[in-house]
Amino acid sequence: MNASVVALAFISVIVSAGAFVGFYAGTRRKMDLEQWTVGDRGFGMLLVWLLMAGEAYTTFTFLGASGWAYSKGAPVLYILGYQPLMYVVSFFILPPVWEAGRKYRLQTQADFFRVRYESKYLAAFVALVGIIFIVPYLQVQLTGLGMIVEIASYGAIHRTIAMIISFLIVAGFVLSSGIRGVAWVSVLKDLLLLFGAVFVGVAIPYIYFGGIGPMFAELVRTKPGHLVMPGSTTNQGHLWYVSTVLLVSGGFYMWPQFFGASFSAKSSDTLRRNAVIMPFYSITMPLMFFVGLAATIVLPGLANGDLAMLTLVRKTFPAWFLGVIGGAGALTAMVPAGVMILAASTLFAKNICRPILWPNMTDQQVAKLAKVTVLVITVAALCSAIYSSSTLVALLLLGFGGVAQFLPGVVFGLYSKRVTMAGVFAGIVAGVFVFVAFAVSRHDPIMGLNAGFVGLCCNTAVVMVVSLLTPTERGGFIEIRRSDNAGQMS
Amino acid sequence: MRILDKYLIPCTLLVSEGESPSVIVPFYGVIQASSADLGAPVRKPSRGAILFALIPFVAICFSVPLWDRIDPVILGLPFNFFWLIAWLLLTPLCMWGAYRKEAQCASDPRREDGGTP
Repeated sequence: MNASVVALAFISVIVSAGAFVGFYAGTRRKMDLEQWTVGDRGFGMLLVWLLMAGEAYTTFTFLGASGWAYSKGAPVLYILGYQPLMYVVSFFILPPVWEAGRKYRLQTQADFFRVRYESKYLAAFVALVGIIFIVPYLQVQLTGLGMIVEIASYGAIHRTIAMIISFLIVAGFVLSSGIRGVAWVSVLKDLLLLFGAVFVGVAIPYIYFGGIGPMFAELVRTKPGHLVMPGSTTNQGHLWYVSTVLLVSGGFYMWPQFFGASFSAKSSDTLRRNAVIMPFYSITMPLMFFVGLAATIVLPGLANGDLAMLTLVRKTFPAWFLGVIGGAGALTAMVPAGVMILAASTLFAKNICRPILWPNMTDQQVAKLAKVTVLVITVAALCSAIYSSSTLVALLLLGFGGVAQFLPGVVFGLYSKRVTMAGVFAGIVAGVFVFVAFAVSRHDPIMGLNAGFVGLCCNTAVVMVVSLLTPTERGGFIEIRRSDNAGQMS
Repeated sequence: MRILDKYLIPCTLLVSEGESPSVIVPFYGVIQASSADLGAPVRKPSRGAILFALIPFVAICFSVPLWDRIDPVILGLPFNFFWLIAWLLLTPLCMWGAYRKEAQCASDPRREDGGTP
């Protein structure tokens, strides 16, 4: 009991420090909707880097990656595959998206679709699909947060109560500070994550095996099959790896929150340079794999692989250290969760409510509605986390399969003259339908392929066919450019 | 009209927030004249940048059957772990090459590979 008090005290101090940084960063500036959601497009390279890293390295990094290395083995390498490649994709997508965002004052992902395809209904549909698939991702963070507090309290605090407390804090700092506050909490979180990951990833193999090399030697001797695909699974081989890496690296910046975060950059060049250096940040990832792999020998037979890292840390280190790791883990859940809630609520208020339901709302009313929605969405994800029991990676891949379906609409929208609104709409419907049908009927992976990838292929085919069957549209970016021009002239 | 596209789209991409609106307005004016031709709002990436970007895709993704094995063990790591960790460090190098290519094409819109392929 004493150990749990120490661990929980450390977690509380770290979480409070995070909340303080968030509140402080937010309260120095006056907030309108633009400031709140895109930080007035004034973020330099460092802050964008932190924001993107803060969102990309989530509880999933901490618990999910080591959990999969523990329970599945080599298929976890897909994470090392997609992380550098998603930045390669972003190099070609985000700078032009940012250019469009600045010209047409876009704030959300759905705005992009609304302006490019000149349809508020397509925009509302994209917003709705985005919000739906954010919920499993948000749930990853909530579940992870719950696990951390549960383990750190040695079972004294129930996961549900832990999740409720932490998410009140998240909702609090999102409401008061918007994206800038979240970005600065990332600084604290990243320092802790780097420290924690490097220390634990090096120390645990050293303590139990005398180093990383001897640990692998031991694994090669006892479980060689765990170290090459399909690892300890039956259906996650090379085809699954290739299809999943393609799906996730292409789909990553289709998350409404990451797509929207690019609007907060100061220039498109910031985003390009970011894409060049970001892969270095993934260097902490293999260390999490090492912890998970060490646990396969030290702690065999855990029912829930996602708990492997925390359980091993609790077994190996003193309570205060578990508190530090737990605090870092809690922040890695809160920061991305904050950004997700922010994105989802802005989408709901700006792209569904005003254009479709109540056309006469002012900007102030939309901003207010976005803040009310923060609470609604937080509660929705909380309920879903309490009543579900999927593993973290499974939840994450569920979200990816959904949001990746926006990719054809964005890429064709940027680089094609021929693509039409009807084509993109039909493509998203087809892609989401195929993916959800396979996922719900438990046929994922299907014939060795990731079901989301199969959905994405159907999606792309449908976009092409339907676009060719419908008459050419001029493309909204040009229309808006004209009316902007007229406005400037008069 | 095709020539106008090649010249002007890179120019508008280069107009930064810092410049005065009076510079931007003439650009908009000219673009308006050719806008019937312009369906796609952005310049396509240069061929050189795409080739640089394909290197990590081939090395990390498509070649998986070639490197997904334990031997040879390098620096104590099974070969598949070593390979992917090495590409975390090599991918930024490739993308730095792509960045240089893009910067070149943006600053010199007359280059053939800077326009639409």
